[in-house]
Amino acid sequence: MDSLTKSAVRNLFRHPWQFVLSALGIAVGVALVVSIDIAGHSSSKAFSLSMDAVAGKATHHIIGTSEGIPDSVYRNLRVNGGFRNTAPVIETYASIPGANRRIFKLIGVDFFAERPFRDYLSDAGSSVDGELKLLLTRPKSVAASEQSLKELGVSPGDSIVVLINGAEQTLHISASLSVSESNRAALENLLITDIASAQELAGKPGRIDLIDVKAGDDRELQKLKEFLPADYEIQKSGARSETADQMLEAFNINLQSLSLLALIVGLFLIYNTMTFSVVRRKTVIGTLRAIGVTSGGIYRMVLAEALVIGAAGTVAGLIAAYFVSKVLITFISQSINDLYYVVSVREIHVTPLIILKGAGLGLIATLLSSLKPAHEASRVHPRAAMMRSGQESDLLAKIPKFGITGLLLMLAGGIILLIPSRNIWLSYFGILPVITGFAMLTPLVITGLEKIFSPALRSMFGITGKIASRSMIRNISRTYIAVAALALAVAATVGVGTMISSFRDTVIEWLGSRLNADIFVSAPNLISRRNDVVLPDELADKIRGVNGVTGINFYRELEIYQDGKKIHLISSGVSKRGFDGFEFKDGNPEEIWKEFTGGDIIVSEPFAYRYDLDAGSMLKLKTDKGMKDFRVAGVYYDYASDQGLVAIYHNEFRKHWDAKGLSGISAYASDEGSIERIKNDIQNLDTGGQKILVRGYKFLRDTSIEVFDRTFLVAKALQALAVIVAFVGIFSSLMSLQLERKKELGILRANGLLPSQLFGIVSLQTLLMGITAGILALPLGNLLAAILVYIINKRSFGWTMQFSAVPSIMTEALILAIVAAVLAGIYPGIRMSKTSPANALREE
Amino acid sequence: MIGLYGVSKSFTEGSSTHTVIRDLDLTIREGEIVILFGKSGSGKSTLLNLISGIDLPDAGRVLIRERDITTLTENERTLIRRDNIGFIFQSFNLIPTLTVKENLQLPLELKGMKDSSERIVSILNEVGLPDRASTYPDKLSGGEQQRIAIARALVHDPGIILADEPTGNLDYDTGLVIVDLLDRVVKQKGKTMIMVTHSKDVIGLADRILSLREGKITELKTDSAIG
Repeated sequence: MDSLTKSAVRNLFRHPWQFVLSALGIAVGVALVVSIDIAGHSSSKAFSLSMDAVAGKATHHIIGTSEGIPDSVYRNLRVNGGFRNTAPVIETYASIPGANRRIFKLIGVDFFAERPFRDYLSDAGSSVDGELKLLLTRPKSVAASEQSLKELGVSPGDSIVVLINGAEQTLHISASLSVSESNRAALENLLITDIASAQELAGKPGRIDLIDVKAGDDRELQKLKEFLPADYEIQKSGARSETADQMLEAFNINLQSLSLLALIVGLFLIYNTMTFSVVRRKTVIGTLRAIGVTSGGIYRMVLAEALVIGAAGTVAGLIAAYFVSKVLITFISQSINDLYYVVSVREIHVTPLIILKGAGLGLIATLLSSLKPAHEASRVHPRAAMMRSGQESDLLAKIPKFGITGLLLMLAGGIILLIPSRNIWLSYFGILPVITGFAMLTPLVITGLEKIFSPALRSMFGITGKIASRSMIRNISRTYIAVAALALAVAATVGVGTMISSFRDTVIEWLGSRLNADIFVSAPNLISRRNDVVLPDELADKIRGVNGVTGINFYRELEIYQDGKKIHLISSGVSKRGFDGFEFKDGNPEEIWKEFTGGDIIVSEPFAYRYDLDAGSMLKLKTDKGMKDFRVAGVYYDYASDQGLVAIYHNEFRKHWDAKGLSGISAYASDEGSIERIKNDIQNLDTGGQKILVRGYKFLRDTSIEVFDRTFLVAKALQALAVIVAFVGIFSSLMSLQLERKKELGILRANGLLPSQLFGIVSLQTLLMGITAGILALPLGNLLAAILVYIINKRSFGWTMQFSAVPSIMTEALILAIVAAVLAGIYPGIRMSKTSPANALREE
Repeated sequence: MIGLYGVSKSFTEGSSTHTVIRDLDLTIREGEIVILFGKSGSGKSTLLNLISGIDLPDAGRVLIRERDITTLTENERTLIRRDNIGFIFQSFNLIPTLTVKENLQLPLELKGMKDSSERIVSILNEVGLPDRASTYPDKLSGGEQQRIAIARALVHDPGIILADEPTGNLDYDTGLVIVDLLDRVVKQKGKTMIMVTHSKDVIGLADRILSLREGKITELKTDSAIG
């Protein structure tokens, strides 16, 4: 190691706390980004593994109509068509009440057709001639991996009670499947039963969900297609995992961008540290320049220092990420279950790419944030070796130019944000210059506020008050970075908080108008916002007949897989009163409803955004009778699904789809007093064995809000972590700042200032910095919230939201900034007041 | 040889311009020791900066070993300084994060001299601090720090030493030690030195004594300088 590098590295270890705090900033940032990545990847991996477990070695799946595939089609394929490499599958979910509501995928298979498809069923020990024989002979018998059985505390011969489609079912454990390295993940959350038992358990008598195919070539597939009904589709295996990944794309990007927020604050920390380091060592750097070190040499020296911090932070962050991801995975998989699909994530999957991405991000972020300090260091004039002051006058003179550059940067950010694009990353990229530009306005604000603070503090605290406020200006090159870093972190809190609050208000208002009935009936489901399980059709009429019911709405939800995408179709039997719950983006509602009941469709705003539709557009949908074009009558506001919904009038739906049953029914009561009685009456209706949930408006609204809040739990946790990073930042900055002023404070002490007065000056100064940061954070925070609401959310999901500034969030933010700054100033204050003037006056 | 021809230098602060060097001509022969007197703010340090290429003149030429450094780029001037000039500062300016030995190693490394231990031992002996090689600067007294600073200025064997008030931060006795050291390691080795100072104790070293006043150089006789 050459002397220059030695000097750089030792400089870090000479200020260990600063080194550790900066590395911590990067570590937290990297830990969050990587853990979110791990959690997202693990969820997606868990889903695709559960898909693979079902798919086995199938190359394709045969998908039937909305009602699945009748047994007879499969029989015909095998017996008359001679297609031996086919196997029927039924899939549903079973949750086990006692095991942390662990969710298993229950698949029903034909054990005689299984051999070419699923390895774990063709092991010698678990062949149909062996243990699996019981599965055929005893109804509701299941097999599971020995690992799963161990975790559930059961063994073959025992029974377990599970919930399937909301109904309690007793399953008999008949066989345990041996686990090997190759099938461990696939078997993790899987229960396997015979096709006949599955039909009974899932309530699909005589039908199967799909047929697995192991096709040799395209010719075989073509032959197969010719043997199937015309509206059947042969889909490539793995297509459903791809669809699931697509569904999560925007969700993941937004989570990742939130974690990047912490990294950006960490980035400021590094910038902070390196700038301090350069400012503090201007004389040393000047000396090095005077004795012949080139400006490039100085540049490299500063970057090397930064890289050491970045590398230490990155390594610590990667280690921490493993543990953080274990916590995050619970929240994220809960949200995925709430919003998208059923998945049980039990294992953490880390790929080299995730590690590489995290490491690269940590190091690149460090390098990027050090470029400017390194550049500044390289421009330190050798003359600085002979000068003892005048370092601050540079920036003071540049403040107006600095401010103008800041405004120009914000303008550039604004232009990037207004580029009509659907790219979310581009939008986030546009936020960067806005933030940086705003940070560049900080010196201007500090000097402006100082003019107000200075006379006030002078009159309140005398000369110590004046010193405290003047030192903000005297050390502006350092104070402004600390203030900007704190302002940014607090602004992030205001931004994310206001966005969530605006979104929440919009959703509550929407729920209020949409849920305009009194009683809501549905079947129990594993996913909050999706209704897989259906109620019998005749239940609608039975509810209509209940005494006191003045009207009903009903709907049937259906998932259509077409062109590799999943479309949520709502067949709506909405009444005239139900119409009022819908608000359209454009057009005359009366006209739209007329067209709707006449056969047109209406689409939700996210769907219209995703598929680039508007009133009058045509949308091709895969019906049970083949592809059909539908005209879009209108686009309605809806916040139920970020994937978007297509609604079709129920009578029209029946013409094109075979799907039976209803996903939900809502009823209007004649008067408020009879609601409870009607609920009881409905609960007591004959539902043909189907368990039903009868709930009031309030319950449904509260549950929806609960899901909403749960979805933003991760965002809130990340937001809190960003504040912690910011606190570390402000602490580090203030610490440096006060230690920098050691000599100045020593002079004050030598001139008779009491330690308590010195403590007062330090505390007063940090208080002023906190107030300045708070004042700066409010407009920036609201600006960020507006960008998130009007641009990011719009581009991510297509939602229109009402932006509302929240006074309580702003007050909290102001308090947060002040408290963070004052707390961060306590230790340096105590330390400086205890330092002997002689030591403080001694030259380094 | 060092030559300054028609050199002028002004500084602008706000709306006012302050000329510190005005159409100055000066030549310094190789091996000559020049002492430069002048009031604070008279431009003494600026003159050193111009000679070392740290600053560029507004007008005129500065020749170091017959090369006009005013025509060179910043990097080229740094390389000229690295190879030909040793600096001694009033505030010592040792690198606090490097030991004495490493402080001395630095100019040698910059010059590309790898095997430097012998040279360092020898120069530490010359400045009378052979046992301080592994000490950090903050553990040295002011006089010791300045001796190490002199050693650092000389270790890579430059032809020119520029000293900016080398005794300015030291007490009288320690100042005399430094003057004696400069006599031994600079003058007697035939190096060229330009020393800016307020101290009259260094006059004994001088081949020539100059005074800088209102941007102009005047040569003083030894007697008048003492007087």
